[in-house]
This record gives sequence, C-alpha cells and structure tokens, in this order.
Amino acid sequence: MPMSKVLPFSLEPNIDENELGNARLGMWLFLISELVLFAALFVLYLQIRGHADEWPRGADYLDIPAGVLSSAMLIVSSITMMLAWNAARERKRRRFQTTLGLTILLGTAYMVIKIWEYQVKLAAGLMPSTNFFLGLYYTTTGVHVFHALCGVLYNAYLWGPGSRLWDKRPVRFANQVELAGLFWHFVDIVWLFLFPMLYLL
Amino acid sequence: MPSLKALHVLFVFLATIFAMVVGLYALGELAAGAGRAYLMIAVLSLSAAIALVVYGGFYLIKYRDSGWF
Repeated sequence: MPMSKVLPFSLEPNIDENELGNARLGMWLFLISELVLFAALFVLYLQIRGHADEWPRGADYLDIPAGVLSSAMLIVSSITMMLAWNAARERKRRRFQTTLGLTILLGTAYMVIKIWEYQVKLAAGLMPSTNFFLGLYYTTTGVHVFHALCGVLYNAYLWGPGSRLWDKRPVRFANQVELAGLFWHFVDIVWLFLFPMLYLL
Repeated sequence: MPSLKALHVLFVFLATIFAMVVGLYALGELAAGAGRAYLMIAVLSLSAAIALVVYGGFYLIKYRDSGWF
C-alpha cells in the first residue's frame, strides 16, 4: 500500500495565522489542571469537615461583609474583562485601556481586602494551626489569592508592554486578551464556590 | 474549545445563583437577629442577582453573532 494511502498529508501549510486554536487549547488544558488542584482542595475540605466532631460557622471567624465586598469586586471585574475583550476586538483602544485598567484595579482591591483579613486574624492570634477550619481557610484562599495575583500580572502585562501588538498584530492581540479573560473568569468562578463553602456554610 | 463568550455566560449564570444564595443567607441572618449590615447585604445581593439576569440577557442579544467555540 502506498504511504500516501496510510498517512494522508497536505502540502498546504497548517498554520493558524493568529494562533488562537492552539493557544486556546493550551489555556483550557492549563485551566483543567488548575481545576484538579482546586477540586483536591474542595475534597480535602469535605473530608476533614465530614470527619470533624464539631465545625465552626464561617461567621464565627470570618468577616462576612468584607467577603461579600471582595466577591462583588471579582464579579464586576469579570464583566469589565469581557468588555475589554470586546473593545480589543472592536479596535477601541481607550475603552480597552479603561476596562482592562478597571479589571486590574478590582483584582488588586480584592487582594488588598484579603491581605487585610489575614492581618486582622493573625493579629488576633488566629493562625493556620489554630484549628482545621482556619488551616483550610488560609490554604484555599491563599492559593486563590496567588492565582488572582497571577491574573492581575497577566492583565497588567497586556495593559502595558503587551499592548505593543495593538497596532502590529491586532487580531492576535485580541486573542491574547481572550486567553487572559479565560484565566480571569476561571479565578472568579473558583471564588464563587470557595466563598459559600468557607464563609456561609 | 469554548470561547470566552461561552465561559462568560456560564460565569454570569453562576454569579446570579451566587448572588441569590448570599442574599437569602443574609435574610436568614437578619431573621435570626443579625445587624443592619446584613439587611444591606441582602438588598444589594438580590439587586445584583436581578442586574446579572438583565445583563446576561442583554449580552446574549448584543453578541448573538459571536461564536461559542
């Protein structure tokens, strides 16, 4: 059997001009691996809580209004991220800079609130080693804050030096904003599960 | 692979449920004698849930031609 019958090939170059297909696949694979990490933390929480004789209410240790405020910031930041992607696709630079800048600010504000919460607790002697609840709280929110930091840095890069591509390769730049948006949405969706688990249940 | 549009729609759906859960939780705390802060959380959360539904509908209409994948 001729080789061409076994291995079909094409002389046409298989190049994705703007590299969206491969990049999006790569980002989704990365997000799935991140999902496994957070799923492990959720399972750990459920296991420990399920075997504990008694478990504190989130409100006993955590500041619910501060948690709600930081949640609102993350939710709004995902909407501004989406607006930034649309602005990049529609070639509206000022709107892009405003909306992505807002996303960065809101993400930073979320981290500032979290660090403030940590400081208040640590000053009150509530350490990760105090009990299982606080150990899980510091671990899961710490991992989440680290992801938020990565997202803010990613967005800041696109807002600053990364925006060189705005004029050179506009479609590719819009695709990069989409990838950053996928990551940022993932970070926010994780928080939508993390907050009720720690603060409300 | 799903586009950002697909993930955004999922996000808005989850955020709406989240806002409703937080609002109902705050109402429960209020009924149990919690302070005024919980009244504000309840009102703002339930308003946010309605706003998210409106935003989601608006978004789906405005970007109906944009691809899901």
